[in-house]
Amino acid sequence: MTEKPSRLAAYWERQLDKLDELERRRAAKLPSWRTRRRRRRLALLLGAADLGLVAAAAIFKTAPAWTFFVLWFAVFAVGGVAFGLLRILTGRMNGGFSRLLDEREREWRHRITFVGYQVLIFLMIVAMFYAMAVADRPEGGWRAAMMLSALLVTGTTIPSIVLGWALPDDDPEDFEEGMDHD
Amino acid sequence: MSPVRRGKELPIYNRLAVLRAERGMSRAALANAVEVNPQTIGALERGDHYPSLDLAFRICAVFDLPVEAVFSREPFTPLSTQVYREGGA
Repeated sequence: MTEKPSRLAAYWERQLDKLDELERRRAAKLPSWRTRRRRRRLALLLGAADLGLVAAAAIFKTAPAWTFFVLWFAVFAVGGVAFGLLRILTGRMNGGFSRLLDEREREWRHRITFVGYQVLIFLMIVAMFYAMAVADRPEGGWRAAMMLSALLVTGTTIPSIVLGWALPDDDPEDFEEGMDHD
Repeated sequence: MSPVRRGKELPIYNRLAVLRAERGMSRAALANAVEVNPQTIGALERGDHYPSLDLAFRICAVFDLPVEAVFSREPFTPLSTQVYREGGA
């Protein structure tokens, strides 16, 4: 009976070690991109892609199908790339498990997830009113579902956008290993 | 920008950069010793982050100094000034 939890705990520790290693490798990627200016540009690009998703959802079933698909997949691709790059450039605060974070990183995590949660609540209220507005129109159910999807995706990207916008430039001294001369 | 609102009336100053330099210790080495990210040491030195009591004690243990020698509510005078003034020079 006692073996199972300990095996599970050992497995979980191994997974955390792997994730820690993955985050360390990520932290060394794109060193020249780790500036506030680059992060902010990516945050703006991701925000623009979110707006594109909402616009695509708004024309769903009302504009020609190809217009919707081109817009939807184009902004999905742009947003996906921007999100992936921001994920790399903002580090473990944006995606790692809390156990891998130190106290400062946990404070950041707490801040960005709280902001993201509040914005998501607001967006879900918008989705609710949109669904009510289109309920009696042709294809109202599909349109409401598509808008809900767009706003849900938008809400889930908010923590990355906030972190990408707010993080300062990386300080090169943080990554220097040397100095020991004892 | 720190995610936490910092007290403008009661800031916490620290001597981490000086103590590290005295011991030839990089931020990464200190971070490793107290088990935090090196960027957290940088944030402490810049005053962007105030340490928890636990982290403050861990840092003091690395330097083998009391808390008041490393952290203070008042700005620290430069160590050289303090040493020479106390030495009567």
